Amino acid sequence: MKSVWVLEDLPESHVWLGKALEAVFPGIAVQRYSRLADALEAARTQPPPDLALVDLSLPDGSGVTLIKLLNDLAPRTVCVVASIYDDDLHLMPALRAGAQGFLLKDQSWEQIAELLRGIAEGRPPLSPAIARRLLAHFRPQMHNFMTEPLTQRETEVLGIIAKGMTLAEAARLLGISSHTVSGYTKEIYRKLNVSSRAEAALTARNIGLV
Amino acid sequence: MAYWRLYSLLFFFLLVPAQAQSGPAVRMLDQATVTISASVTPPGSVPDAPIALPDDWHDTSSTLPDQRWYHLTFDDGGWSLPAIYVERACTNLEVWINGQLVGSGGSMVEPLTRNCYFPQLVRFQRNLLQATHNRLDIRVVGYPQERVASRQRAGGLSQVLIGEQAELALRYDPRLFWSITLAQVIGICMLLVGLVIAALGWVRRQDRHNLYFGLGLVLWSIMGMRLHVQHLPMTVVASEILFTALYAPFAYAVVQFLLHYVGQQRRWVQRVLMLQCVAVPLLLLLTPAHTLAATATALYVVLGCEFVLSFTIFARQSWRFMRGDFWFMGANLILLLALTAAEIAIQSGWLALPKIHLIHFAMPVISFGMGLRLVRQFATALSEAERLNRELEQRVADKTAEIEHSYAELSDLRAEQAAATERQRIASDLHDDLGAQLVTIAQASLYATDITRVAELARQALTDMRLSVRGLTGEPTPLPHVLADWRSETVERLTLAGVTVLWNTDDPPMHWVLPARIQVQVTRILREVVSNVIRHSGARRCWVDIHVSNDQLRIGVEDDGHGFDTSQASQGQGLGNMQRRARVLGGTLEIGPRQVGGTSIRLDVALALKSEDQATGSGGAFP
Repeated sequence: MKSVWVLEDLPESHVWLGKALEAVFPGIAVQRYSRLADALEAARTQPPPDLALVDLSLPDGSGVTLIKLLNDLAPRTVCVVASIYDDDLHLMPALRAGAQGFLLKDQSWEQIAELLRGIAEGRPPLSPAIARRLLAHFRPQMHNFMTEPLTQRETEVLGIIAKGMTLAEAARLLGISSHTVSGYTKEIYRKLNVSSRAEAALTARNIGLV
Repeated sequence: MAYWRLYSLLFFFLLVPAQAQSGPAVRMLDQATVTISASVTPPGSVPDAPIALPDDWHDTSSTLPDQRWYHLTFDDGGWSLPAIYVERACTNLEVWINGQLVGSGGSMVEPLTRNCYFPQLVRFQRNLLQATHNRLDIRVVGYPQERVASRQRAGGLSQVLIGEQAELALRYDPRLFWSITLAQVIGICMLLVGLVIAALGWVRRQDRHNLYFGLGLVLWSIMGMRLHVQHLPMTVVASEILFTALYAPFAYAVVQFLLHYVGQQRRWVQRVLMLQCVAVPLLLLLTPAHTLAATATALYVVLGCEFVLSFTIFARQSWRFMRGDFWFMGANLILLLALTAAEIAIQSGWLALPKIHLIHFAMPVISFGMGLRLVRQFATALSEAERLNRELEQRVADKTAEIEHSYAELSDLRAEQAAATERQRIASDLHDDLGAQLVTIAQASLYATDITRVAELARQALTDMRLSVRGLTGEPTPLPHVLADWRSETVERLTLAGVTVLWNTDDPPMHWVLPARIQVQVTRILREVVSNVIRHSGARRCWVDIHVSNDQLRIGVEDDGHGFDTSQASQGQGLGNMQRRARVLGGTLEIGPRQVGGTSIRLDVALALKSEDQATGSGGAFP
């Protein structure tokens, strides 16, 4: 990780997140945006960053827009939601737009650093509420040609997390390494994003945009 | 009224038969000589004593049935198609001319053919006739009046007409029609009407009088069979007893009808009438044969008195309470009374025997009139009931609309109240929790030596706010999901703090839904408990047990730390908050030392669990 964008309207949070970033990725280049419009402009004109920390509620819009744009223009950019909400209602749209993780701004910077490290190493977080949302999203009757179905193992992982177990417990229960469990989680997020993009494309075609 | 036209029509027709006039080609024979003889052919010797026709029989104490031979003489009237017309020969006859049998009414031995009401027209060949002194023998079998219950069925012979067949047919045909055909038609009609009205009375207990009226009509139509049924498988005397005995149930029906009609029925009256139904046949069976007529007349008088009595009651009641009925029914019944009196007079011999059995023809007309009235009453009652029903339906519809309206208002009000309660709860949450936390932060940030304490307080405030927001917007959550969230958070926090968690919960069904209010408050309590374990207990291990039934949630948290003294004031703030929250939920929170060291906390909350669809539809705390 060499460059990171932070879209965040509170100066203190900028400092806070910067501290955590410096701890995990020493010497990383941090570009700060406090308005959504600026970040969107940058995404269109400048080379994409390796990592983007995005707040959801900004004075001029929702951070989900940036996540969506970055996901389209620069699929390699890792987008992480940094917000004060961690519930599924707020996070699902961001995950569908392509976010690969989420963290709470009010956590200690050590905790934030730990989470960022995990996300960078392919260990995205997953809460029971989000696991339940994902299970609902990938329910067999919801399947259509756009939705890539989950494998049995992926479904099992989601089921275990949805019951309130930690990733480590899930790994133990399934008899696999926690690294593998993280791999499944990452794959589930990817499939969610793919299906969302397909849906968006279909919607666009239906209303005559494409 | 249509009935009056009906009556006048009836009486007009009653007069018609009397107007039959004798043409020149018809000769009336009203002188005869009589031989009482059991012979089946005309007896040879002729007694001198002539009698005048009609001849009515009186008791002769002879063998039964009585048989008499009438000898009449006539000269040839030059008829091309001669015939003999006998208006009445009771019970049956045979006609012989010049020693030749020319006509028979049927069986001349018991059981006799009953021809009392049947006129007889006997045709014969004119070549049987001589110019003068033709001999006409009429063999009549029957019973004298004393042995039958009615004058109409006493043995006898009317005048004999002889003449042109076509001429006589003009007398025979109307007579047959009036005596027999009409009686048959009326009988069938009365039977049907009676059955219908009785059925109406049977299905509707309130209209019991209809049952009796119908029963009366049915009985009368059965008794009317005397007029037109010629062949019965029993002797004349037996059938007389049977038909006369039927007057008792008939009286039962009539009296009961009258009393029921005006609501004056009495149990004992019914008993007496029923007893009478049994007593009358016994009396008739036991009475000596030659006094049957007298017994029957006495019986008619008794029954007539019962009739008059019940009519009096009827008249009095209807005069008081049902004036319309009084005039109509009363007029009919008085007519009926007059007919009954006339009938008794006829039977007693005070009046001459009329050609038409009056009561048998007047009765149906009167009954029809009354029956029509009853049916009309029934129809009126039915229309009235339908009208009432419609009104009632309308009223029910109005009431239903009103209730629905009130209910809608009420549920609006309740939703309003629930929302108000909830707003108040959130306001007090914000005020009590967030306010207190912000005050603490404000003060600590100025004076606290440990700046991280301020950060921690602020973080906690944020966490609480998040929960409040979830309570504000969230829907009731299925219990398994709540348990999963609790487990995830608790295990993560304790594990991060180096405490091993042993989590043990029930597996409640998915349709058990925890109200958001309880979810938020219990989450806070649990968080506070976990915070205390992490901050103060120094525990290595922590046991969490959660048991859910549909009326209770029980959470137990134990740790193996060094425990704490609950009386210590320094712990006050957090514990006080937890106690307050538990109280708000109507639950209890017990904190105490664990027996083997450490702390034990137990939270009990009463639940009234609802399944998800009920919870969302009930307009509860979070509609």
